[in-house]
Amino acid sequence: MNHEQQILTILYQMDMAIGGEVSVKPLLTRTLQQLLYHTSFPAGLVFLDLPPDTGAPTVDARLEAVVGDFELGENIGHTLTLPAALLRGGHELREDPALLAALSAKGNTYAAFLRLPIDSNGVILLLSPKIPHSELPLTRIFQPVMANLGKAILLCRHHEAYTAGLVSERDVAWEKLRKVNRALKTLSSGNEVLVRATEESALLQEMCRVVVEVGGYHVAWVGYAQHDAQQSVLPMAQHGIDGEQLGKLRFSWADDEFGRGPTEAAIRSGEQQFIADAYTDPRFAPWHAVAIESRCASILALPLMDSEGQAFGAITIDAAEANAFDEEEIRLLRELANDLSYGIVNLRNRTERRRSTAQLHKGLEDALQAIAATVEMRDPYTAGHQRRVARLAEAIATELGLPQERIHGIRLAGTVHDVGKIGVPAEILSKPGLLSVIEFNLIKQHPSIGYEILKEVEFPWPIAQMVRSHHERQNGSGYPDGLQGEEILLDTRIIAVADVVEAMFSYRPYRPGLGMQAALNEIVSHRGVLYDAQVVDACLRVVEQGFKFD
Amino acid sequence: MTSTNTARYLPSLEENFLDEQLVAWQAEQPKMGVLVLLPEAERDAVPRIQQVCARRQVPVVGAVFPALTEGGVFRTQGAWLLRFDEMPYAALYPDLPREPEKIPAALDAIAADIKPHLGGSHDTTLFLLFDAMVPNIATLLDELYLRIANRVHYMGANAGSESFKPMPCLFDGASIIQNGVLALLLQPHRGAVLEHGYAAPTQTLTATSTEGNRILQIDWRPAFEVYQEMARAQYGVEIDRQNFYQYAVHFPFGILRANGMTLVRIPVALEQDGSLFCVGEVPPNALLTLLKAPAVDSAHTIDRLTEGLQELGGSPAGQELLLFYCAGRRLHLGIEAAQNELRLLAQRSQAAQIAGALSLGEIGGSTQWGYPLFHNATLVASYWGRSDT
Repeated sequence: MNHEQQILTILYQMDMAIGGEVSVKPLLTRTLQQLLYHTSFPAGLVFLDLPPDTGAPTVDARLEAVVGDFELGENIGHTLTLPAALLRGGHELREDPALLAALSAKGNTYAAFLRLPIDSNGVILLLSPKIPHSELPLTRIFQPVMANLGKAILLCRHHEAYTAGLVSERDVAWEKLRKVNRALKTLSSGNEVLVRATEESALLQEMCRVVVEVGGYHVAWVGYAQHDAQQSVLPMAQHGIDGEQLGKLRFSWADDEFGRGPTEAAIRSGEQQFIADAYTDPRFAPWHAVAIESRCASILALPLMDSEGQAFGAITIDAAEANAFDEEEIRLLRELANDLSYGIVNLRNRTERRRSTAQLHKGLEDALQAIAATVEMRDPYTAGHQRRVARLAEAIATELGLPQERIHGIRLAGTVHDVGKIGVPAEILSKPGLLSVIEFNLIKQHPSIGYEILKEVEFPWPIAQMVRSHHERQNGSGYPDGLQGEEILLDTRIIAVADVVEAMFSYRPYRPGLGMQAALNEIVSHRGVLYDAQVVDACLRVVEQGFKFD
Repeated sequence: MTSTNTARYLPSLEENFLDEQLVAWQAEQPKMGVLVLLPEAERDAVPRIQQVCARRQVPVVGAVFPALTEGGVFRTQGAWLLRFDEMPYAALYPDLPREPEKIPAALDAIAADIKPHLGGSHDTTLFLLFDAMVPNIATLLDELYLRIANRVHYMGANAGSESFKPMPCLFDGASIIQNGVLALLLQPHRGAVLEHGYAAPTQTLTATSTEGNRILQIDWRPAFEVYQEMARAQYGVEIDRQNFYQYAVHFPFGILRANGMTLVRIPVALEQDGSLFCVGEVPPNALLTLLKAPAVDSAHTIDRLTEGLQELGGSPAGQELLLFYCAGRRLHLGIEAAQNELRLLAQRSQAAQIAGALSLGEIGGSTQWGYPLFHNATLVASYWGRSDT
């Protein structure tokens, strides 16, 4: 056997394996597997970031990876105190059971080790009951591999830090959107309940059910202020908690010990009340035990106001996790409470029914504006893009003579048509220069993501479908569904044209704004092929009549 | 337990023979279980075996191999019944995943099943019988070693058809499965010894492009082209597409490791693009050599195997052994030379009985500790039925 040739091939094989990893943990595991495979040592350990050598006889070293030792494998991530003579020093193959005593556990006795330092950063120890047979100079052949491993660890750590940053930024945005979205779903379903409601107690019960079952909150209940001697609060409806259990609790809107909880304070003050941690908040002391038992960790109480501006009750929403409600979510749920108040008053006074519908629509529109703001806050380069697209789409729709109600829906869809960009890393959205294929494919997912976000919200217009299809093209070359011609709603075709015109007109991170003429040339040159001909014509007329972006 | 009453070869699988054997054993060991090794020609007997065992309330597991070994010859009829005094932990896992992203979860589940049954003794053997059609056994072993590590000794073999025709070949008392593994936890048990005795010639080449058990390129050229050249240069043999299947088994690849040990990989299929399929995975950039039948030193191999058994658990004389003999090795050496090796093992070991099967790949290490490796063309031997092994 030609040793040189064999060594070169082993090094090549190991370097290829090391170079194929982008995260530290698999990199270390893969390296250990390769070393064990080639040397017949049964177990291997990796320690990184050794403390500086102070001459102490022992070293506290963090165990980063283990292959082949069941007991030591349970200690990954822990700091072990080991002899400095074992961890420090150059490449060495040695039989020394005493030095290895600290690593020998029940049933495993190690007597031999191969130490492979990784730069000055760490060390690999291969362990065995005796030195395995090898004709190769094991202390020398892995030196170049260890040098490369040191660099690979550094690169993997950079990569992990970069990826973690991307993921955390995206996750924060997702979580925020999730909360807003669940409030929005609650609001839209609540509105349906309100529209259908004919009787007050059924309305309260149904609203509580929607909050829990549609919104995913833990408990919801409505209490009305009683004008009795105790100034008690009487539960009128509830979902997610046993009515009998709720009935046994004492609530009062008087300013006493039983009046400091969120529901009572909301009624007394007419202001929303929020308890971030119901298990420990002193205001909630009389109910701590029941909060823990029924897993109500955070509580939001919203007053129900009559037409005179006086609170006559409150809707209380509990979440199973502490600190569950953020500002935007509370704003939307306040909208729900306002709608509920209005619905109750309206039921009590049916002549107000028409006003009720307008109020409901306003709530939904506010919610959509909140979503648009969430996206634009994260992507400053397209801030205002949705608003401008909405304006142009509204103008085109008006030019086409569509009914006012439908124009309204088109404007709203335009306002949120890029909501799916919440699922695209911010770095890609604001990247100057050309995008890679992978990055572009990520961006192309935004219509589908937007659809998923909005599909369960009940609007009087097909908002979710418009969001999904705004990159479809007349000849079927668009995405995500490759729809053609009449398969694409006229409303969507209008948004598509407005989107293209605004995008070309405005500044982008990868190019300056191209101006209105270039934008119009684009839609004219693809009139009837990519863009609906009558929409293109209407857009030209709108601009000719003096339409301008901000 | 006596050391010579735990393995029985039944020449016929008539229901009453099976039943009589179980009744006799149950009288000695009421909590007994049984491992059944069947030759391919007897695989229709599986439901009958399951019925008899169910009737006698004897837990059973088993596997179907191309043939059995008994009395120094290969048998295509009958069955080996191997008794456990008390049925150990045994589990069947059908349809093991092939997609790399699904493997960790599957192995997590298998390890989670096994870990609670490990007990306190380090002399525990994880005995694995795979369906030979599972293409990624080496990867699965790597993953298993990451989870169970040195907590067990590893031994095993591949079951199935010698023609590599897919078929259910692993069974327990209720089902028969394919593309899976039968895992048994033997304790106390000190593993197995594995030897092949192939001498590696000096010329080596690198598998520069591989996919699992397929070698696409050697030294950046189509694998078959280089394989032909190696056979011509080293052994003066002209291998072409017509005689490939006749010759390949006689010229397996050896994968060399830094410790000088060789893993044998028998090429079993030749693709149109010149790539070669082997039994067992070939790591990317593995150092390959071409092995050849005459280089097998049978006497040396059997001596090493016997010495290994001696180190494992003292003298094998008068003991019962379990043996897996690679089908590829038999093809390679020819039936007569292979049977000579069986008889040589019986003679050198002086074992009371050697229960065995012709296997389609073997699992073990050359040492008692260390990484479990997937081999071809080897003999794997272990003690059977000894309470201290």
